This record gives sequence, C-alpha cells and structure tokens, in this order.
Amino acid sequence: MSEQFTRREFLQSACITMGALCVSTTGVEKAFAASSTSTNSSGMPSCDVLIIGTGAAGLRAAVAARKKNPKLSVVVVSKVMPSRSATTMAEGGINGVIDFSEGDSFELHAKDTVKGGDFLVDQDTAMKFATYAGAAIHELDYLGMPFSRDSKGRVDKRYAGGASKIRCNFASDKTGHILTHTCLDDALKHGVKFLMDHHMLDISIENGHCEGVVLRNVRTGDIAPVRAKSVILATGGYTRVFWNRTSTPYIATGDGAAAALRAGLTFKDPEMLQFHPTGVCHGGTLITEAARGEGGILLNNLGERFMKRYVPNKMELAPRDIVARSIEMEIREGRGFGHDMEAYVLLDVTHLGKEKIMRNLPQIRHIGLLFENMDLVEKPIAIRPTAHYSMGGIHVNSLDTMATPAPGLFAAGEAACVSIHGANRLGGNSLCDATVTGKIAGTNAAEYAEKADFGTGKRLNDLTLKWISHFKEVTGSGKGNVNDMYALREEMGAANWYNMGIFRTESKLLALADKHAEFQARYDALRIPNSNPVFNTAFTEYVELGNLLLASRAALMGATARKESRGSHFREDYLKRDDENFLKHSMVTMDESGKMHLAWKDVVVGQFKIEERKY
Amino acid sequence: MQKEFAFFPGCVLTQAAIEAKMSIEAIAPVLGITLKEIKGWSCCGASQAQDVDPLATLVANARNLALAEQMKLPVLTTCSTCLLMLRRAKAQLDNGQKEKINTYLAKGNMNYQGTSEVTSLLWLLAQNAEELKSKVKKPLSKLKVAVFYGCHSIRPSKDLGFESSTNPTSFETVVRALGAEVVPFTKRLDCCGFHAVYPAEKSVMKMTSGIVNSAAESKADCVVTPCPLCQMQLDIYQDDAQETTKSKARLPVIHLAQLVGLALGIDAKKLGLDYNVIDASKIA
Amino acid sequence: MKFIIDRFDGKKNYQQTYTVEKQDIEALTLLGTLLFIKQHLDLTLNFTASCRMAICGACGVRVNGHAYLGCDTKMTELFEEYKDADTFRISPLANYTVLSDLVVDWEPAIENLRKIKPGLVAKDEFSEKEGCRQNQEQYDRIVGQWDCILCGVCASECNKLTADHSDYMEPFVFTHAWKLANDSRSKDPMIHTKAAVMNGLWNCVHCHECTNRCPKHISGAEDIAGLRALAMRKGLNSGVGPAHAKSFYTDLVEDSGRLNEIRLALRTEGVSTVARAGTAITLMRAGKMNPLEIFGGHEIEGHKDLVKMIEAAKAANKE
Repeated sequence: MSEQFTRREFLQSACITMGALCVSTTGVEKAFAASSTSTNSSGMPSCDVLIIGTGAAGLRAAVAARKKNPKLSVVVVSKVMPSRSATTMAEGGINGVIDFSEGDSFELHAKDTVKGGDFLVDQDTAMKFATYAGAAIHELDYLGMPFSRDSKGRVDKRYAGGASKIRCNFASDKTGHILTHTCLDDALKHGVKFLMDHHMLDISIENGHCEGVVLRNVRTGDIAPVRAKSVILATGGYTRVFWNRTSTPYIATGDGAAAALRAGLTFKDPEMLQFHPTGVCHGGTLITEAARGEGGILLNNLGERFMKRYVPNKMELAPRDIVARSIEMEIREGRGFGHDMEAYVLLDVTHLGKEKIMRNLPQIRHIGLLFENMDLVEKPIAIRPTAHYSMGGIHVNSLDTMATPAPGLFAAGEAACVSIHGANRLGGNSLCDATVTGKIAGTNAAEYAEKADFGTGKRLNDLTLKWISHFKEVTGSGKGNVNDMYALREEMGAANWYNMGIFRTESKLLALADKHAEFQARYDALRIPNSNPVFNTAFTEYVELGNLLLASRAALMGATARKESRGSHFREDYLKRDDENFLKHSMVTMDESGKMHLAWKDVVVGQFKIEERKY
Repeated sequence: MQKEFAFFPGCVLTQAAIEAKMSIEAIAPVLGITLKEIKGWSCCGASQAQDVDPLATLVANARNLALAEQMKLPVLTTCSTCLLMLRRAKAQLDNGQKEKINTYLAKGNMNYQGTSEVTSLLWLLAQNAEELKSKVKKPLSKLKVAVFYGCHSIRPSKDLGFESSTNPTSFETVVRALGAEVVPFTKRLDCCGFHAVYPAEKSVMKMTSGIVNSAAESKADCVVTPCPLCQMQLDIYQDDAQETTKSKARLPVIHLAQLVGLALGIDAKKLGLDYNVIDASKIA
Repeated sequence: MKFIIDRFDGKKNYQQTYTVEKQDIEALTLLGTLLFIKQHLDLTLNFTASCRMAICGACGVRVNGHAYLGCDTKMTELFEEYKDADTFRISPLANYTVLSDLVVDWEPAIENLRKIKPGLVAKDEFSEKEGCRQNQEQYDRIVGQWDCILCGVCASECNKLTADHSDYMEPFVFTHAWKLANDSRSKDPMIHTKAAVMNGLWNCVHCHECTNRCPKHISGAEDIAGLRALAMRKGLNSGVGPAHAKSFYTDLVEDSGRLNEIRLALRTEGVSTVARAGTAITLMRAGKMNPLEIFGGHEIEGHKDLVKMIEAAKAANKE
C-alpha cells in the first residue's frame, strides 16, 4: 500500500473508471477514464466494497473487509471528515464481559440486554452479541485504545444503567472519542481509502440486488453513480427528527434508513427512539450515564432523590427509558424547576469530589461550563431528557452477516436494526454494537463481493439523472427565503418532540400525522436560494431534512400502530406491555408512490423468559 | 515598581547580542533599577537542550532559580526564550517536581524553594508605563515603530500568561510611552524562525524576510523587539533573508532597551547601536 | 455589530460583511453565531459543524487571524479577548486548502497521519485475545495526546507550515506519533519516531502557536520535543537538527555551562559550514563575537556542581 496517498491513487486503487454511460465526471475522474477494469463493463466508477459512514461501525467494517481480502478495493464514503461522527460523542463506556470473577457472564450481559430492551430483543442475537462484545474489548485494547485502567492495569469498568454487574469498560468519559480515533488509526494502518465530503443520496436496488449508490461530491456538486459489489450502510441514527432536543450531532439525519426506505427495503421498529435521561437543559447535549454510574444523584425541587419513588432498588441506575420518564413525571407534577422547554431537574455529582470528576468525568464538566455556564464540581447541573439513540433501523437478516434481504446490501451500527436493543438500549451497548456489527458486516460484505458481479447500473443511472435534475429544480429557481428550510426543520423537531416524545397518546400521534402531511407538502415546495454546486451545504441540509421527514413518518406509523407501552415507546393510553399482540417488530416499507406500509415480524424468543420488567 | 532584580542575561547577551546587555545596563540606573547579575548562571537550554535531555535542562534551570533565591530577589531577563524556559521550569517545580529535583540540587548544596518570580524587561516596563513616560527626555515623536513581540514573550499562555497572546498590548503601551508611533504591522505576532535557522533554513529565511517586508510595507522606520534572539535573527540574517526572497527592503532592528535608552536621552554609543548589523544610526 | 467573513465560492475570493444585533448572539458560541448568520441572513455561507460539544473537531475557524474551535468558544470570551471590538473578521483555518468559505480540505492531513504509521503495534506479551496491561502512570503519559480531536487549530497557526509545508507536517500529526511512541504497550516506539524524523520532526520553529491555541490543551511543541529526545536517545541523531540541539546540551553540561555561538555553528553544520562562516565573519566584524571563544569560553562559577547535579539526575532516572 502506498504511503503517499493521493486522490488520484484512490481513484486508481478503487478501480474507478469512467466511460460513456457516466452522467457526471470530475476532472480527476476524467483523467482516469482510460484505465478500465475487466469486471466492470458499464464504465461507471466502481469498487468492490463501498462503505457509507465513518463512525465506529463504518471504520470497523472497512478494516474487516480489507483483512478478509486485501485484494478487494474498499472505499469509505463520508459526508464529513472521518472523525466527525456520532460515535465520537459517546461518553460513558462500552459493555463487554471480560472479568468473570464476580459472577458476570455473557449470558448475564445478554439477559440484561433483553430485559433492558423490554423483551423486544431477538434473544439469539443478544446472546451472540454479548459473546462478541467481550472479545471486542480485548481486541480494541490490543489495537491501542487507551482504556482507563484499574489498579492491576486491566481495563477499568463502571456501572451502567440496567446492568446487573459492572461491565461498562471505559476511557474516561470520552470512550466514544477514544474509540473513534482507535478505529480511524487502525483503518489508516490497513490502507483504507476515504472519500470524504461525499453525500450518499440513494441506494439502487435492481432485480432485488444492490448495485450501488448515487453520490454527491459536496466539493464540486457533481452527482454521480458508483457501482459496488457490496455496500454497507453505516450512516448512524435518525434522532435528529427531534431536531434541537437531541444529544446527537447535526449530521445524524438517518440518510441510510431513508435511502433504504426509498429503495423498497424495510425500516424495522422505527418508533423505538431512546430518550436519554440527562441532556443539558440548554441544547440537549449529553451528560453521560457514567455520571450516575460513578455515583451522581438526581434531585427535584424539594431536594428529594425522586428515583426512590419509581425504582427504589436501582435508583438513578435504572434503565434510561424509566429514568427519563421519571424525570418528565417530576416536571409534569410540579417538582421540577423552570417552565416549558426550560424545565429541568438537577443532577448532582459534587459529592464525588473534584479529583474524581477531573479524572473520570472531565468532558461533562466541560459541557457544563460550555452550555450551562456552571461548574458541576461546585453545584448540581440542570438536566432534562434528550433524544439519544435509534433502536430502530434498517432491517438486517441476522447478526451472522448483517446482510439486508437485498443481496449485496449490508447495514451496521445504529443505522441497522438487528434487534439487539429492542425497545430500549442499555448504556454501554451502542459502542460495542457499532464495533461488533461493523466488523461482521465488513467481513461478510467482502465475502459477498468476492463472488458477486456488478449489476447493470441501469437503475442507478436513472436515479442519478433524477437527482441531477432535482438539484437544478430545487436550487436553480432563484426562489425561496433564507429561513424557510430552517423554520420547517425547527417546527418538525418541536412537533415530533411534543407529540411523539416521551409520552405518546393516540390523539397526539394522529395530530402529528396531519402535521407530517403539512410538513411534507411544504418540503416538496421548498426552494433553496443557492444554486452554486460547490460545497452547497444548504442543499446537503435540504436532503437531510427530507430524510428526517421520511424517518419521522415511519416512526409515527410504528408508534401509532403499537398500542402498548414497551421500553422507550410509552403510550399513556395503553400503559401496559401487550405481549400477546405486540411481541413483534414493526416493519415499515414504502412503495413507489411514497405510501408507507406496516407489517409485523415475531420477536425471536430463546432462553430468557418473557416476564414483567421490574428493577 | 520593584527596583532590584536578580539579572539573568542569557548566553546571547554575553556574545552576539552584546549591545542588548550594554543597553539594558545603560537604562537601568536611569530608571532607578538595580540589576544584580546572577553569579554562575548557566544556559537555560534555549528551548534546544530539552530535545536532548529534558531533565538536565530542568535541573539547570532549578539551579538558576535557586541562585536567584539565594539573592532574595525576583529574576529579570530580557531574552524571551530564557523567560519561557525559566518560567516553565518554575511551573514544573512548583507543580510537583520540586522535591525530586531538590535531591539532585543537593549534590551541589543547593535548594529550590519557589520564592523568586520571573519577569521580563517588557513586562516590567509595561506595568510601569506612566513612570517610564515621566522619565522620557527625548520623546521619539518622529519615529515610526513596528513592534515585534516574538513568540516566547507571549506564547504559550500557560507558561507566560502576562497578557492575551492573540491580542497583546504591553509592547504598544511601552513604545507609546516613549512617544513613538506604533504602526499597524500584520506580522507583529509571527515567528522569526530563529530556533530552526539551522535545520529549516529555507523556511526560516522566508519567515524572516516576510517580517521585514511587512514592517517596511507599514512604513516603519525600524523594527523593535524585546527578545535578543528575534533581534539577532531579523538583523544578522536580514541580508541573507532578503536575498533569498529577492526583496529590497532593509530595516534596522533594535532591542527594546535600545529604544528606551534613546528616549531616555542616552548616547547611542552607550546603547551599542553601532553593533547592530543593519545600520541603525539614523534612528538615534 | 459586524462580522466580516472571508468567502470563496469555488472560483473567487471575496469578503462579505454581515450586520447582527449584539443581543442576538452574545449568549451564543462562535459556532452558534455562524449558524445564526447562515439561518437568518445568508444560507449560502458554508462551514462545517457536527457535534457542537467540542469533541468532533469540525468547526475550527479563525477570528481576527487566530484559530478557535467554534463550538468551544463563547462570544463573551471573544468580546473580552478583543476588547470593545464591534467588528470581527472570520476566516477559514490557515495552512489548509480552502474548498469553500470556511471549509477546508482535510485529505492531505489525513495522508500525513498515514505517514507516521498510525495504530499501535503491541508488544509480544500482549494478544488480541487477552488485550494489554497498562498501569496508571503509563496511562497518564499518553492520555493527554489522545484528547486530540483533529480540529486543525494547531496546524492553522503553525509558522513552519505557513513558510513551507513541503518538509513538515501538521503539529497534531507529531502528537499522534508521540502518543504511539510513548505508549507502554508499544512494541517499538521507533516505528513512529523514525517516520516523524523523516517527515520534518526537526523543522519545528518553536513558535508554540500549536501549544497555545489547542482547545484540548495539548502541547504539540512538547510532543515534538518528546519525539526528538526519544530519537536522540535511540541514536537517531544524525543531521543538522539533532546536532544543533546537541551543541546546546554539550555547552551546558560538558563545556562552560553557557552557549558558545561559534562552536554552535561548527557543531551544527560541521566544517563544511561555508555559508554560515559568512555570518560569523559579519558578527566578528560587528564586534559581537569573540573569536577566542572558540577555544572555550570561561567556565561558569559552580559549573562542576551543575555537572554533579545533572549526573545525579541522570543516574536516578536510569534506575
């Protein structure tokens, strides 16, 4: 592998060739028009394994694919620079049993995960997942991830909510950041090539097979097809449907899930959106669960540790869905501080002492200073639940392959739904999900690509042409006001938060359906007053907003149909879990006309008994 | 104003920047400052020796500071790199290294306690700008000055911290107190390149030339700097640098103490102005 | 108040001035202000942002010529730093190719990261199956460098990169090399150190801009010094840079205790230093250098004690 990597070499190594069929070419790509490869006769740019997304899942997938077969061309596409992902924002830790001395086991990890997910977890998957998670910790340590250490020099661990044993391995309160850079270093080491500033617009499925994606080169504005034998979607979650009331980055806009929907694939359990109990009052950024894992307590305006009212056995370390609801209940019943969007309760870590906070929780101290203008070493911080994670996602067949039902298309990490987390994800399970599923997807995508042929690219070409004219139509009219799109985005976020947030009811959900129809109509009429193709971030945001609207509609469809309360999906009009009717995954698809359809798929039950979820 | 200091000249003042020593020693009595040179001071490491052995450098500076402590005086230096090295050593010693390093100092029967602060000529003058102004005999009202801070008088803040490193004002305050005009000068916070003149000569010549040209474009009569290393770089290497970039501009580069001395009415000869490589005589 | 923003539309550079009410932005961060401008005044303004909590590194820009991480900088801090300013100039990071407005190209920097052989090569005693061991002291040694978020702020300010980037790399690249070389789990620190030496390690000009501006309080300059000391210790000491550093050390410890500038030139560049001889002659003519000093300057008072102290320190740290 060459050390001096240039864009030129990328194009070469990725076997990208250009030809007559190609609808749009950049200068550099044109320079390589002459070098064609034998397997790809269409003349479109192509590679063996194409990965969308550079969070932990995408980066692990890339390394796994290269390790599986170094001869394959593996390209990772990202709409940003590789380390700007949601993974990097994860704080608390990464679950995985590596210490069995206190009676912990893979089975217990799986059991906690199943129960935490309120039994909407496929149990065979959870069991395998827990096994892989343990191995992943050692593997990451070996790759150079600097975990915090215990007195014996082993990886240090802390309590995470809903866990029966201590198994949340951590690197200070920057575990995701540290993990991201470990994975990025490893990807660079393995010669993974990046195509940054490229936005995936659509996936093309032809005759049931994935044949590639439409990419927009944000730098030039060129919209072009890229064919791939296998594609891995590692595009993250869609919690930005709540726009400003989420802990996730601006870029977590469900691009993969929305593209999958448009391609006729299944969006599984879309209504399962996690609300993290402790977002900062202003802006919703995250105060890690580790703050409570280290001993932080929650207080209402009476100075009470109110969790004793809800889960006396677990207190602040109950699972996220329960703690989040408890906080909202306190606020609703007048025991919070502030009003409306400014309402909050307090999280107090002052008793941990400055030294411990500075060692184990420095990042959240910084967040307190930045967003709330206060030092949580000295006083409690104002917090309120914030949307945090998408349990739902692109349906994949099983954890064994992370393949979607469309051959050649894989999904991994938060973008995928392999039903590890069910209706509520446990703290510490997301980073190991990304690590574990990314690796599996990468290996299997490579294995698939070894045997597969390229598709014809015909549909891909049509899709590309459609996007090219769409760009012209949306940006070229000279119409539209500066604030139209942003106002719509804010309204969508607020409407979703109030009607599809922590407390859901039929009437609110039905009202939201009307809103969604209105938003979609406004979106369809939206025009962006910027026709410059070069780094048009407004158009990127426009595409993202469209994806969020689709994800919102899918989530609403699931939320409306699921007439029960389970995990983070809480229906005030159906307070009980209803295993008889809803021990099932909601499976949302969209037809060519844009109409959504719902089907159900049974949850896989195994060794863990379905029982009332009590802590 | 603190009147008495343990003076740390730094190596360069004993040799290539002899005029910096002459001028600071000339202005001190006029300002009522007593400079007592630290006996037996050693090289501070010059931001170079630590690349070989950081510990040896720390020991040497702990010893330098301990020598000043024996004099019961705060340390004053005019070389910015010495300032940075001494202050950084002090910070390291005061934040946990003291005990360990003292066991080594004991081999020469010395002990570091942390009682002497370290300041620079620039800071001292800025803090006492009014008093300085009152002592000016020959206001430099016709002189247009480009003030060049030099890296180690402002960066890194964690070690220096006297003022904002992105928007410092001490130097302007001092130069204005002398009656001179401070011209806008875009490269006033840049690096002269001195510390890499050997390994990265080409780059450094470009940097040096850029600074001289920038000052010339602002119609300055001279560049003035508090740091003898910057002065050396901009003065001694100016011809080389300007030839490298094929630039015509030549500007006198003078030490802060020389500028102060001129305003105090001290004879140019006593300020060592004839030692400057680019002719600085017309400034006097 | 006014924000003058340096813009680039892909073809031409220009400046655009935006007027905003102070009250609309004074409670915001710098990133918040950019978002405010984009969403209320001009959606054609391009910049990058992702996490808005100072961990993803996307939103580095320059204000009045100095780099800041947008989401980690409160407007009130800028008001204080640039007293009474009612106009701010916002520009893209320096030392990067500008793609559009405030957006820069990260590709070359990522390729530089490849050069220092990223990724730990763990010692043989460790395994993928059982991981590694590391004690607290060893962990503390590297954890600061792991805070690097690749925001590019250090690189933007680097004087060496501005002068010539062809024989140098972004300070954070050296920080990445150091975090690996200095890791107790690392099998061979020289893998990364050698690569750093070959890619400009000795060309740092000691301007300390990287150290000063890093939003994560990482000192690129000190990491470079760490790599240099390691390289020297391991015998990777040929070339002008190491010789230059060594001569300071030699004067301090082995000779008089003070620097001798003529010896410095000779030791650094050897007898072939024809070019520098010209400088030495200039100095001697100006009366600045005593040619006799080449035979050894006066030894400082107490130098023998200094040598004893340094030797004690060396001995103690060999144990």
